[in-house]
Amino acid sequence: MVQILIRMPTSEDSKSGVPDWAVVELQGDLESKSGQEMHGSFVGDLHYTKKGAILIIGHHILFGKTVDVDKPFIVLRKKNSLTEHHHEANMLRSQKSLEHTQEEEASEVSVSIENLYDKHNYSTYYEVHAIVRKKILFKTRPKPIVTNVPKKL
Amino acid sequence: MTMGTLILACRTEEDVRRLLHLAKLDEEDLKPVVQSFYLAQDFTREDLKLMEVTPDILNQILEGERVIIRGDKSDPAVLCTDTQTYDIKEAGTSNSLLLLPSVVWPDEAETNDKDDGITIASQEVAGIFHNYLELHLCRPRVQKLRYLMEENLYTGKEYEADNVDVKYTFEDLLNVIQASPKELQTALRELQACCIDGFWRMLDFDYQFSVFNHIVNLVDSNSWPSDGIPLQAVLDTLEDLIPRKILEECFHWYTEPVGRTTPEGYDLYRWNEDKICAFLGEVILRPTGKFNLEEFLYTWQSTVPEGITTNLNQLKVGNLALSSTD
Repeated sequence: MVQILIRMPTSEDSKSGVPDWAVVELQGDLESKSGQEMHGSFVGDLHYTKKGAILIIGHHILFGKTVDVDKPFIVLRKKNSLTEHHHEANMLRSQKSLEHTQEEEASEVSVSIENLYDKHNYSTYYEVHAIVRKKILFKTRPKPIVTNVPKKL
Repeated sequence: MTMGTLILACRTEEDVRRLLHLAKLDEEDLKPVVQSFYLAQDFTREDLKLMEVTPDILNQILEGERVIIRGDKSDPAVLCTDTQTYDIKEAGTSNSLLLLPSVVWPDEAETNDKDDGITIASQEVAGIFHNYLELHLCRPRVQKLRYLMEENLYTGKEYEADNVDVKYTFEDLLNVIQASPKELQTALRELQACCIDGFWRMLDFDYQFSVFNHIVNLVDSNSWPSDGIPLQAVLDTLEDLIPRKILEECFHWYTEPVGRTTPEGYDLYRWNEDKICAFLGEVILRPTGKFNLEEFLYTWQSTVPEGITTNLNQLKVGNLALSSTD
């Protein structure tokens, strides 16, 4: 059997404890306009109003607000104590447009141990890389921005 | 991937204003700090997982307590704290969860370094997630424990020298049982297992009966009252025959403290009638499996120590069932 420890970073890894990160939650997926690589590219602008938040992504505008998460998230980073940390080759996720999507479907599947450890070594452990306690939630469907057609050339 | 690989922001105030005007937003309504999000070079982050926990579990992790994922290769994984066990499930969502190491929150976005105009803060999206791990409190998976214990029952110290069958320490058991330490302790106690030389063992039933008999006979031969049995004397007298640890465990299974002591200050105990009757009921039924009710009741009552009355309700304490054909 496998025992995978979840632990805090050691003092060499992090002098100042575990940072707080944030989540921005929105409907749908991000796509790349021209199908070009998305790495490093600009996503959108986030503005705050008196009562909420506005996100402009491409030709869509989303309205939302900052909330405390119901239950905290921890961001776990897989490590192993034998070799240097490395992660698998980058894979571009399949592109889907930022369309209106259906209501959020939560599907729950048991996770088998095989999904959580490195088959080639048994000293896998997870380090708490960050904690998420707040998120900016965009619950409403993205609205397309309609641009005015210029009246003349 | 280090956070130092932030993409240089190349958007200007112009760019930001153009976009917000396009979106028909009025700058007057907006706070002066605007955040431009950029995807990290490697935003797929296969090395990261998001797990939803409880404030309690988070505290335990922060305080360095043991939080461990346990399971055999193809087992559904569970997460164990010191006291509880949780099923780990993967929750999928059609939403996108953008993970940001740094964000300016609304109350921090009020002021900027300019009197007028916008301050642009560039923020990196470290990863985009479509699922996360969820925890569901569950029962520990301790069914396997009895099976493991029965692989090598303790039958007496005379046999131990040649005993090469597998034995388990507490840590060994944590390695093969999906349970928290506290739940494992409870399960071991319920199985009436004993820790002998660091290994957890269940007693062979006949051996257990013989230990019980030694104790009962000692009480009889000393004429101790059934509600005034001194544990210390039992241990001292019998420890040559039976390891002290086992004596003590067995003793506690069938007695309860009286709350008084001997003149020398040793604790006194009395028989736990229900547990003794249940145990002896099992002793009688074990070899035969079935027993005529009347005969059983007679035999049973004559087997229990003097002063104790049997009662069919006591059989519920043990692992026995009454069938109507008896």
